[in-house]
Amino acid sequence: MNTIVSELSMNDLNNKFFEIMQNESNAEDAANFIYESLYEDVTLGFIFEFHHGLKTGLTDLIEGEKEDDENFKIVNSPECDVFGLSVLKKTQDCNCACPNCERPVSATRFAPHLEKCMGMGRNSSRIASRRIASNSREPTSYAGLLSDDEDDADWAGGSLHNERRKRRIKNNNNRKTKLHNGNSRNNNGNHNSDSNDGGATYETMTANEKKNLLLQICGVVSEHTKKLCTRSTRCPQHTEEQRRALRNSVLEPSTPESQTMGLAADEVGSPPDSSPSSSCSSSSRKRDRHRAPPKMKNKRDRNMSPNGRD
Amino acid sequence: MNDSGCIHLSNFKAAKGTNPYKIVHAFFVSCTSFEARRYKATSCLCFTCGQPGPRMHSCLHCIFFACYAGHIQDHSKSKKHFLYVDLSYGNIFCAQCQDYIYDRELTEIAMTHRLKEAKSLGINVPFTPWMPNNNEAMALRRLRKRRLISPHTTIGLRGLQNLGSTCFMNCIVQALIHTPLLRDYFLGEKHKCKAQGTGKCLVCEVSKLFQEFYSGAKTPLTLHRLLHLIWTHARHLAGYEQQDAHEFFIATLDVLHRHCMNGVDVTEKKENGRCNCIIDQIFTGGLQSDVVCTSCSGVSTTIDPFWDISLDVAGPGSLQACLERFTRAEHLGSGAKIKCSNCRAYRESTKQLTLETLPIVASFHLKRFEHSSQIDRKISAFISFPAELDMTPFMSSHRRAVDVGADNNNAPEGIFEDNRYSLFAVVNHLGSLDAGHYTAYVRQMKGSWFKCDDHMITRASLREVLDSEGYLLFYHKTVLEYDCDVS
Repeated sequence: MNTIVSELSMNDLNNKFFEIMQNESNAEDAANFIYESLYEDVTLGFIFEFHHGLKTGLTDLIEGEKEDDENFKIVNSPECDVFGLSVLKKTQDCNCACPNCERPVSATRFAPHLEKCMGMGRNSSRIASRRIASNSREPTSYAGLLSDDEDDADWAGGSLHNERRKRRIKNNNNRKTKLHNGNSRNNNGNHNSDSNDGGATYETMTANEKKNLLLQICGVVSEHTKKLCTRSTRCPQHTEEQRRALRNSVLEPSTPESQTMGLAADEVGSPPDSSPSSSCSSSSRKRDRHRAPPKMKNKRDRNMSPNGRD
Repeated sequence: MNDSGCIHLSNFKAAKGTNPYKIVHAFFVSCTSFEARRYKATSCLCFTCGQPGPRMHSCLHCIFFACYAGHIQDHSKSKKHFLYVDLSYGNIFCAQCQDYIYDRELTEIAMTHRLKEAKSLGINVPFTPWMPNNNEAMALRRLRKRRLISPHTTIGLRGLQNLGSTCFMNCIVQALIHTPLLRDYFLGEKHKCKAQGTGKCLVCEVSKLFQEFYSGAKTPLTLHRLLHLIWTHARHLAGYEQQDAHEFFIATLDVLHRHCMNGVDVTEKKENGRCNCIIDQIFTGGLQSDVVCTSCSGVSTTIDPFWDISLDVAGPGSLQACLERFTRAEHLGSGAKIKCSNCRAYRESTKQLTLETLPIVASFHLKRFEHSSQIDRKISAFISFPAELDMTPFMSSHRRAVDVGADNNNAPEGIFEDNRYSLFAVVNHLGSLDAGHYTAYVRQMKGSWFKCDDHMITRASLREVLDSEGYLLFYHKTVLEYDCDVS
């Protein structure tokens, strides 16, 4: 037997390779050899992984024991959903704490509440703008106009009311509003630059006007635009400090309202709604019931036992 | 987990340390350098029979290579060298235990060598099966019960409370929660966040949501914190009256993407500056736009990232037809001349959009809502969409091949490309423009569909899904390729 060559030089390897590849059947054999080597290598990898899992207990560790899923079985019944809840029954409403104001809010009314609470929404600023506009034009009727709260559907009734409100907004605005489910990409409508707010400055208002206006809106004057902030009195853009400072400077210091402003915001009289909609009376009633912080307790009670939801 | 080898290996390590293994592994198992590769190529032959196999092993006690067809065993017996190393994977066979044994310390050495090998070859980190670290192993031991996802349980399903016309949010959340890769990411707790516990990170909130969906609880969830976070960070959504699910979907992806960047995930950012957060990894594709000058045929190409594709629905009857039209060359008339950089003049041109890179999740938005100065309307035309979709015809590479006249049946370059997708979620809009409702169909497992109507989750059939109108369609890539970027 010849001596076994157990080490080759790179050169030897290359030469041998070319020599072997001259022969076509060798080339075929070589291709098969390479394929089988790879195939075996990959197979071996699987086997080692499997063996490793068994030998070290990793497989057992990962697989553990199957949980008893008797309690999670899907309910197969036409009257129930997969959890076994009746398809006819409404879900129980519950309260959730608003992340913005930390007050408990009925879950089914949370979205409209949040919109108001954050002082956002095209409508809220539009409504507020209109409030200012009409305020500067006819100082006696503003109080009956839409307030933030009237618009705040979290305490308001069903969709009927909502629909009316939308219609009313349309009418009032004389502008096509793109709302409701539609794709509103083109509607960059931040309409609080309504032509009217330019006219609203504190200089042109009477003390009473100012007072009543500040009961309803934040009112802080922007440094850049010199315009009033038309968001709600709890708008997140400005701090309580800023609002207090503004009220102190704009209102005469002697008026008691200026001190209690933040609290008594809802005790404004509500003369008949001047808007054309017939829903005015119901909405102003709702406001009376649900708004005022002194009636907070009342409101909470309502939250606990929600009445019929849509 | 028992990965501390055996008593024989321990004795060996005590006497000689880990160096013998390190040397064998670095040169003959995972070659960590060019030099090592040469050694392996030239010397891995059986010392007894001269053959390159089967299954070469190296003695751990002395320099001796032999095949597993008896020769390494002979050596072991005659020399009483009981430990030898398999040269394919670096596992150690103990002749006294008569089995391969696994030692954590040596496994870790092998792992570092494997990384070095990949680096020296300029390739990505090789695949390694998952191994729990000590903490994870402890947790697995402590909690023996495993929750399985099966088509017969409600695990992974949860109703969502309507918060006052928030079905637009609920249906998007259902679609996101049932995105397979997103589920793997979040259930694997891959999101590590700087802002953890502050309640300010939307990604953390989604992470919690996944836990809720898989908790087995049956009561509907209230997504008030999610809504608040999204509105806080996407103020243009401007309140609940804007109920477009598509707009909400895009805004949600945007906020998630931004919050990923805030987290520790930012380290994942690639060198080329492209974001590599989980949202971009899953949802971002590249849309190629070729503008061809009709005078000089000069092409100006731009590629823009996209998260979804909005398709016109007037006319075509199927998703494929919509996509066909979307990727068709369009003549920009004389009214829309574009300055050609070649001609240095304004010329008429054609424009064509194609998909340069495909995202893992392809989201299609059927433009069913039409807003114009004259009329706002909803287009309820039936558009059929398939359960399985091949995106190849809409790829830039494919279009190019077709244009140069390649045979349509012969695959263009990149024959290994697999661009098949399968449907996993459909969002539907029911009703009219101003009084509508959204519901979602989601696929929980292959072949297992459910209809999500706010808090109500009911079984659905694929037929029912495919017969539905369709507003947003979500497809997931069927085969995931390994990222093979050479860095």
